[in-house]
Amino acid sequence: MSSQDYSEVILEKSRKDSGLAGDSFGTSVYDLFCVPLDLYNVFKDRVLKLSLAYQKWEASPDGSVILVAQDQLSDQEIAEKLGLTEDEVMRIRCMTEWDIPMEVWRNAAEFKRRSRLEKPLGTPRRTIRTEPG
Amino acid sequence: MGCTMIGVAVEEKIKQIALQRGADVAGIASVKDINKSAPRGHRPGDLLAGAKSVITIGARRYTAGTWMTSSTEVMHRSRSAMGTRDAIPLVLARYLEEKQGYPSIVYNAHMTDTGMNVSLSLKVLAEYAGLGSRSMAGGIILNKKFGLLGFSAVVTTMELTPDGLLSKPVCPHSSCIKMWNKKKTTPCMDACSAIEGTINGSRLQDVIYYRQLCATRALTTMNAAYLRLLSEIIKEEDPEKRKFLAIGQARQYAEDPPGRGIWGRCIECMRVCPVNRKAFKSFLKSREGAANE
Repeated sequence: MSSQDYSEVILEKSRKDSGLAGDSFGTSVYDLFCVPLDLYNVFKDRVLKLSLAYQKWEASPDGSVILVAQDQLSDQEIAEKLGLTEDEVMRIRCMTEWDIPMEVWRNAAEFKRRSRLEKPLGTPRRTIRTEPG
Repeated sequence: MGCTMIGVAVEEKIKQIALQRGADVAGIASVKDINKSAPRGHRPGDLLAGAKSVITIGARRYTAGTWMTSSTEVMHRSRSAMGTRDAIPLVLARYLEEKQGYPSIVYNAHMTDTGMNVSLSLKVLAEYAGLGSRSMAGGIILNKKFGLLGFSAVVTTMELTPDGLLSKPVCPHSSCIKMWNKKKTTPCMDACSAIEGTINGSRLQDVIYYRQLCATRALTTMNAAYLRLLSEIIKEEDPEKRKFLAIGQARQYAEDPPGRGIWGRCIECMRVCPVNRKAFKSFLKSREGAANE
């Protein structure tokens, strides 16, 4: 074994096998996985609205059961539309999909708790014939 | 296409295996059809070169009692009922490889990255396999007989005769049309503001779904919520407050992260859906009948 630190050997081998360009090595951990914040702030809302985060469907003009998707674009399609790379779009989308105030989660739990208590069978009318009691 | 095996077409044999193993429904879609709706990068052929067909199976996710429970915790933990859903595709894939000679892969719902995009849309696969149609409730696929189903699939290079789309949509239910005409809302829309849309006559005119609102409800105590909380804990400068953020009531978002995936933990739109309610009620045997067995 060489005199290099074991972790350095692993790092070198990983770089070789990754097939990535040399300038992609040695960056901060943030840069490994995220886009610069200014790029994120410019595009985060547009990426969300064009992605599956906002889904709009319209009736098919030919009367088929298929509803026609509006936008709901893949990362590749969003990249083409916004002039970004697919990788940039994926990074932005992955950052923004969960960049929602924590309060929304608290509200989610409360929403479900109240729905269950107020409508224990999913309806104010207790219409299920075989329900207990 | 449909090769015949001892008098039974392969397509029928595949469906028989799925149903015998516990699936409620099984259907076949052609990759050619699926590609009409799936974008590049999210097509069966992107996972398995030369893919020709996709077999989709569906199984009920909950017992009728789960639909009735007032405990969200019971519902959160009832995914075990979906075990059969996950096991059947492997049996089918083995059958297609070992008995028919066609490479096949199992596909369950999973996200392709740290975000929420999937490799393949199980909704699209189910729709083109004739297992249901999209509903007002966020585009959930509703099956007329079984209501909400959990889907999984097998992508195969074998060309099979597809079942194709349904001829009539399952949603909207007649009672929803009446409600829409009277109040301009439907039970699912009334239950959850992630859902918007309109009905024109007896058809859905448009459907709008705010997935990120639904996600915080359907994935309330999943990894994503934990990670969202983690960033808040790190940000808190007061050590005492930081401690209580970690061990106080917010811990509910940290202590139950069973994995990364699409595991529905909110079914409020489906609890009020007439199609789904009719489905789960129809499987409750009458007490009079049960007494005689």
